Amino acid sequence: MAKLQWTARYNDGTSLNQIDSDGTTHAYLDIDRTKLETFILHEGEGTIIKNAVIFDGDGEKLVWTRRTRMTLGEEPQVFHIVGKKDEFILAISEDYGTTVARHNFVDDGLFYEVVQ
Amino acid sequence: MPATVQIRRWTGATPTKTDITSINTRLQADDTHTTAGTTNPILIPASGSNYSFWATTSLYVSAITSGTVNNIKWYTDGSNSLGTGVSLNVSGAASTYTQATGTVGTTGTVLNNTNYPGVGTPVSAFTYTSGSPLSITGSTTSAADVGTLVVLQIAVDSTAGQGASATETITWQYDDTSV
Repeated sequence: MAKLQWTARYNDGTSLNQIDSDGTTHAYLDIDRTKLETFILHEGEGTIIKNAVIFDGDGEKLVWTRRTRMTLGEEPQVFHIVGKKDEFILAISEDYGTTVARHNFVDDGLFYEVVQ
Repeated sequence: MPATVQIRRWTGATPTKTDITSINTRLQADDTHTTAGTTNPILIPASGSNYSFWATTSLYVSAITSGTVNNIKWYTDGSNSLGTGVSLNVSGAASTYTQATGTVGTTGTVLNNTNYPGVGTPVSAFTYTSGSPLSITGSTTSAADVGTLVVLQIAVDSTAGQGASATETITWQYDDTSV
């Protein structure tokens, strides 16, 4: 089970969870970007919010992926890359639950363009 | 669940694909995967270079739900710690596997586009770092090998010392939007 999950909150008061409380799952591509208001990364069922990106009619700019680094013989490192295309992206460590860097164009390999 | 992804080494004619994600693999003068084998080391040449049998590697997605694995990168720490007279070359871009050949216990066949159709010109693996990685073409939305093959080969020249070289660290990075 992923440590962090997303919830897309819409401007009509509804929302779409990556994983519902009954275990039902929803794909990232199912997010309706036309009414996206907030994209939230949280632990478990949402009690601990790690990050929220707010949209104002620009939901089509949403970028999210789970970026995994696998080094032979070591535990994988998982980062959630989230933000707005052509504006900003953040890298959030799944292991430490903190935002580890902000896009400053000093590329350490975490901030390659997300292909979506 | 995030996609389940392995790093695998391909050997043999069929080929056999071994999960090496949590272990190491040795490049030596035979076409086998081993973590500690010493049976067929690369013979230090009197002049020129001898080579390991090339090692074909790739990512394999064993499970994925409602998402895509893509944007694959490959890189090293950027520093050759293998020792004097020992280098590591890499080539990507091959989409079709070619079994490694050579003289067992002495040298592998040199890696190039003639001997391994589809590979690009091999370069030092240490040119690829986290800030400047090798980009691997390919994506998948289902369980499958994903991306073009990454082929490695060690070259040993006459100045190399005897014995096992130090280990090198290789990292694969990928994006995953699965549930």
